[in-house]
Amino acid sequence: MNGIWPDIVAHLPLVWADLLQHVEIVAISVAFGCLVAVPVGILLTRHTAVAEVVITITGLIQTVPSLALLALVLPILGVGLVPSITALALYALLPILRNTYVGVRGVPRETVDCARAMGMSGLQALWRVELPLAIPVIVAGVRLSTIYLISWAVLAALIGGGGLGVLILEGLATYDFGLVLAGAVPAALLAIAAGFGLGWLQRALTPKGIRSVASGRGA
Amino acid sequence: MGLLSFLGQNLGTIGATAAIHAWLSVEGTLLGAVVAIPFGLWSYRLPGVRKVAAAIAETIQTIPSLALLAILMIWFGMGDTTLVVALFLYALMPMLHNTVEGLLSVDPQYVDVAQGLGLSRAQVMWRVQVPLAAPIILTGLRVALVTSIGIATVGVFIGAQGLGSIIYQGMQVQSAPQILAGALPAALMAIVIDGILGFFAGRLRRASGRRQEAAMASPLRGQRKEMVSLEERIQG
Repeated sequence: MNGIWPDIVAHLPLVWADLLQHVEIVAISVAFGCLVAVPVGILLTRHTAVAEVVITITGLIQTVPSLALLALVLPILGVGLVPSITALALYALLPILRNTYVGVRGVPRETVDCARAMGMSGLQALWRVELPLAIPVIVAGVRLSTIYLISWAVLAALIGGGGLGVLILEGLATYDFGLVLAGAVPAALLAIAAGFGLGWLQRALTPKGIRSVASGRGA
Repeated sequence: MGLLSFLGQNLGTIGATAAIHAWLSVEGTLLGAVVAIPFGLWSYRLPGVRKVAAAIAETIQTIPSLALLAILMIWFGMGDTTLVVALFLYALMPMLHNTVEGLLSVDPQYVDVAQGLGLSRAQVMWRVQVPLAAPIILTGLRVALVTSIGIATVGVFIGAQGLGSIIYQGMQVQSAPQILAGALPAALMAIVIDGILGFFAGRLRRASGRRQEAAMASPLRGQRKEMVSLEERIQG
């Protein structure tokens, strides 16, 4: 083990560039996922018959192994940064879509009725009652999506996606374990940090009134 | 070369590879279950232990699969062992989480009643809590196994066997039929396992629902309710 750390240090400038690219790829994909999946998820709560079908299909796609899906992108979209971001962005949709739907559906009917009875329009009720109550679940979806994508982006190096996966795959191909770790350790830390960060955001965005309920059993 | 002709020519190899893939996935998941379920049964009533364990398991879960495999390779070398160790680690979180959630979802009244009937702690666990929590625990196994099948495809990069090798070879020669010959069985395996375990979890859930209904209807429960309301009246 001791011989490996100097190797990692030697690779540091490379690591930094690849880490930034990794973050960039994931951020673009997740941002796209949010922009599309949140509105569509809300729309689906208004059309439950369609929603059941869509949610079942997204569940099915999520069951497919990541390497299998990424490999299938290769013959369809080709190699490069754009194909891999496209694949990642499409995949980012799924957890966010599912959680938006579940979150908004989970707001009690009576609560929405109350809002409407107080004179709110449908949109106002959505914006000021349903969405705030559903936010913890939606952010949980974003968190899940981000963690998945950090992992997927490592594999996306295979189809020319760049990022930290390049170091890992190159290291594995040349038996350079220092290079492998120089990619793997930052990737692991990035995912853990994103998990904690978004977990914190989830708690911070939870409306005060439902905080004790949303955090589960408490102590 | 089309997909069908590729499949036809390599059916034996693909079948054997799929079998190995399934075995490695099951091995990792079961190792995880053997550790996580007993740990969950022991720790669900200890909030401190439970939370620390959940945090550790969840952190492991977050680590990208190729990164974890690459790090583990330093200790376990190239090959199946590293893959199985990684699958074991990834199986911990869903199994532990669902075991604890399953046990906590059991209405404490049933536990009280069972203890009142003279059952020992172990008996209450095996005859009341575990059966009622079983659907949720099984769902944990389902999630863990489906995840395992997916991650096992990545094992190819650290020299493990399985369907990943067919996919990766296909990617290297840019052959869509060969990629599909590895990807489709892996996807199918995940979907079928998900469906089968989902079906059994559903059946268990209905069975445990009936059990709870029966308990609701039992005269003992009625008495207990009266006692509770009596207590409330006294306190009120």
